[in-house]
This record gives sequence, C-alpha cells and structure tokens, in this order.
Amino acid sequence: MDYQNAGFDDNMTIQIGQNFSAKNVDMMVAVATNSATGCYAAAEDKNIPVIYTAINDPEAAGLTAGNATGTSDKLPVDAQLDLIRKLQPEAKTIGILYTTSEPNSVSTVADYQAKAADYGFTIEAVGVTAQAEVTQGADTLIKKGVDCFCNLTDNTVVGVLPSILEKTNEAGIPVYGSEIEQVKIGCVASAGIDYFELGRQTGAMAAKVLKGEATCDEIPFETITEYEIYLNNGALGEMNMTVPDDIAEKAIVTDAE
Amino acid sequence: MLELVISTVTQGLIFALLSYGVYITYKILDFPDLTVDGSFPLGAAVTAVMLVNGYNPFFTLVVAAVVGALAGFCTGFIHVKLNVRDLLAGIITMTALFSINLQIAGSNLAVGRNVDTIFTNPLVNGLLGNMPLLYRKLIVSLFLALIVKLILDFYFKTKNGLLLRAVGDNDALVTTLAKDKGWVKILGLVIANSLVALAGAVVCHEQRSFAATMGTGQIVFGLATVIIGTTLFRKMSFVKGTTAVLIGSIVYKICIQIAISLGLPPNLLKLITAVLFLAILVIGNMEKGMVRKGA
Repeated sequence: MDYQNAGFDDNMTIQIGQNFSAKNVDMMVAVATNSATGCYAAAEDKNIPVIYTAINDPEAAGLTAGNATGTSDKLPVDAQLDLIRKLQPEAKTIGILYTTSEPNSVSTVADYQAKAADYGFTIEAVGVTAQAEVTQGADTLIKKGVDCFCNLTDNTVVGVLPSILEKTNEAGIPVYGSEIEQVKIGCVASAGIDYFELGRQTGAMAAKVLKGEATCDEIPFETITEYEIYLNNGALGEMNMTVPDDIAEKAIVTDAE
Repeated sequence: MLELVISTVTQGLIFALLSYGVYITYKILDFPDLTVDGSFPLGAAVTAVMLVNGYNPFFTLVVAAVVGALAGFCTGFIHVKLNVRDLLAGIITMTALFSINLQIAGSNLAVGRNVDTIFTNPLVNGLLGNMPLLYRKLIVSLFLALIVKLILDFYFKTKNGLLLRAVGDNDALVTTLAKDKGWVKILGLVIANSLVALAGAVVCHEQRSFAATMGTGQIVFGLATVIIGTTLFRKMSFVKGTTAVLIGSIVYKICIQIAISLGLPPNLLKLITAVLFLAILVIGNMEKGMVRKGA
C-alpha cells in the first residue's frame, strides 16, 4: 500500500500517478474525479487497472470504458427531497449553493432541478467560483427568501459550511446536509450515503480484480443505493422543527458532541 | 526507476513551454503576468473540446496557441491602452478566463482513450514504431520543447526580438528609436500567453482531461522555474535564457517527484518542495560567490 495525497493540486496527481506506474503497482485506487483522471492517464501505457470511488458521474468523467471501474457517490436526490417535504410540509423553494467548476455539483444541481417539481419544490441555485464568494452566495439565497438550504458534497462550499450555518441560523432557515459529517457540523438532517459503506463496496471490487476473478471491463461501475437518514436533534430544536415518527424511528441521530 | 526519471523529465519538457512564456514576460519584459493561471487552462479547454469532436490533434495545438495569444492581447490591451497596472491587468484577464474556460469546455471534460492525441496518432506511431507510450511521450515533448526553444532563440535575434528585449531593459531606448513600446509589450504578452496555452494544450493531450482548476498556481511554477534556471546558469553567460528555463522546469519537476518518492507526509509535500527550491537557489548563489572569490 502506497498512499499519496495530492493536496488539491491537479499537477500533483499527474506526477503521483506516474510514480505509481513506474513502481509497476498492480492497481491504482483513486478517490474523487481529479485523482482518478490523473491515475487513469498515467496507467494508459501499462494498462494498469484503476479503481475509483466517490465520483458522482463516472460516465461524464470518461471512466466507464477501459481498464477502470469503481463506485459512484451519486447523491440520493429523491430521498433527500422526500425528507425535506416531510420535515417542512409548507416549504416551496430550496436554495442550493454550488461551485461552477465542480462537475459533481453541476450534475447534482441539474438532478435536483429535474426532480424538484415532483415533490412540489422549486430550486433556487447560486453558483460560485471560489470559497470567498460562498458567504455572499448564502446572503443572496437568504434574501431571495428560500425555505431551506440543501447542501451538496461540493468541496468548496462544504469547506465553509460553519459560516453558512451561522448566517442561516440567524435567519431561521434550516440547512439539509448530504452526508453524516455535515449533519454533525450542524445541518438539521440528511438523506445521505454512508461513505464507509461506499469504501467497503469499492474494496470488494478491487479485491475481485486483484484476485483475477474479473477484469475492470467486466465490472460496470456501481452506485450505492442504500442511504441512511441522519438527524441533528439540537439543530432541529433550534429551528422548532418536529420529525414525523416514521422518520425518527429509522433515523440515526448524530448530534454534535 | 528509469521509467520514473523519463516520465518526470517528460513533465519538465512539457511545462517548459509554459516556462518560456513566463521567461518572456517576467524576465525579458519585467512584467508579472498573472494571465498565465487562466491562459494555461484555456489552452487545455480548447484542446479538450476539439479532441472530443474529432479534430486533428496537431491542429488543436495551433488553435490553442492562437486563443492563448488572444488572452495575452487582452492583458496587454488592458495594461497599455486602458492604463491599468500590470499585475491588475493580468488578474482581470485571468478572472475572466475562469468563466470563459468553463463556458468553452462546459465543466470538466475527459478525452477517452479511443481518441488520438499528439502522442498516440498514426503519424507519431508510424515514425516511432511500436515504442512504448512512455518513450513516445518523451520524444514528442522533447521535440516540441526544442523546436519552440529554437524558434524563440531565432526570434530574439531578429530586429523585432531585440526591440522586445530592449523594452524590458531600457524602454527609453525604444522610444528614441521611434518605436511604440506599448505595442512591443502587447506583442510580448501575446507570444508569452500563446506559449502558455500551448503548454496547457499538451498537458491536456497527456492527461486526456481538462479541469477548470488546472491553472491554479501555474504562475508560481513558471516563476520558480525561471528563477531556478537563471540562477543555476547565472555564471555561464553562454547558456541561453531559454535553455536555462528548460532545465529549470525539469529540475522543478524532479524536486516534486523526489518529494513524492521519499514518501513524505502528504501534507508536508509543498513544504518540502519549497525547501528543495530554496536549496537550489542557495547553491546557485554560493557557486556565484565562489567564482567571484576565485577571480
């Protein structure tokens, strides 16, 4: 096992991938899109298998053909919309903040816009280009009078989630997260995937390829279908929100310690 | 080990194209040009879109260089004609390019393995036979880096090229020659950014992808390579500036690869790179000092 972290630097991923290739590793495992494309390019010469995980849209990233496969962390949009509807029966608009340069976010926003009407919502999406613009984006959404925020797994936005929550808490607008960590930070609730489970699933695929039971071509990428509902009772209480019993029963409570 | 050396040198050769550009603006024109962080991904964005749509891979390099030149022209125009400070002019173009790049490529874009690049096309394959891709990449990058270097060396000796150098050294001279130094500056930025976009295009061929964030920090890389190169060869006046930055680019990439290979804690990677960078500068300065003492 040789771990390397590119530290958000795209050029670093190139050199790390080449480092792996020169060491003749049996397999490269890449987390998230940029690492995966870097590894996949470096693996071209020797056709080293690449297993990826946490990529929202492997098809758009060009990783569905060739010696690469893995898991997608596509968000359970329907489940999330359903959860918001149950927790806020009166809500009309959902505000989403996302970064225009993160393909995962762009495709997820499109997904939300396509499905929102089914649950009686309209989406108010604000795109930003840098972390410094996020809080301004949050102000814009609050001013537009959205009923709640729905947070994606957008790296740039999640990085400053606490400062968004500060603003929304003041305005009395609940923020929904997309995975357990965001709920721990202070989002009210989330229908999210379990990244631990995602990793386990990816590991199983990697093992199959390494043992020679199948090649990457033979295994299509997998999307995790199971999701959990996470609640933060403290945050819910602050917003004076009540959770219907059927949701509360199966939900996992993850209050900030 | 040999493979790692080859792929690292290849990276250095590809990024040398960018270093040439920064050499022109920073070293010759004395212009800190931040356009680079935008024109580099611009070249890659145009290339990715063209490759996906089946254009000839070599043609993409030409188009990338032309759009890069346009970006350089914008910065030059903003600075010279609209009287905006050099640093700000670059920042304005760079910021605008971020949106333009996304508009061109529509988010990040991947180029499938079935698409021919400059490294994998019938012409190169025919010339180089069934050589492994690793070596083909080295040879093609070497060819590009050298041909651009030779063209630049030749250009710097022409009347126009001498004017460019004069603007950086002594712009009063240019005015006394009855030449407009503003246009010479714009020309320098045009050439520099077309080279930077060309580098972006080649990186896109090599990586088979465009990412909106791929330009971040490229100007820092460019400045570092120019400084490393010119420091290393400071006492050897017969070494051309282009050769110096070419070597500087390779040295920089080797520093990074050493940091990665040593298996250092990932969070310290940048710090180690900075330390290696500093060491090279100090060694370069020490050598210079020794020569002086000897003389």
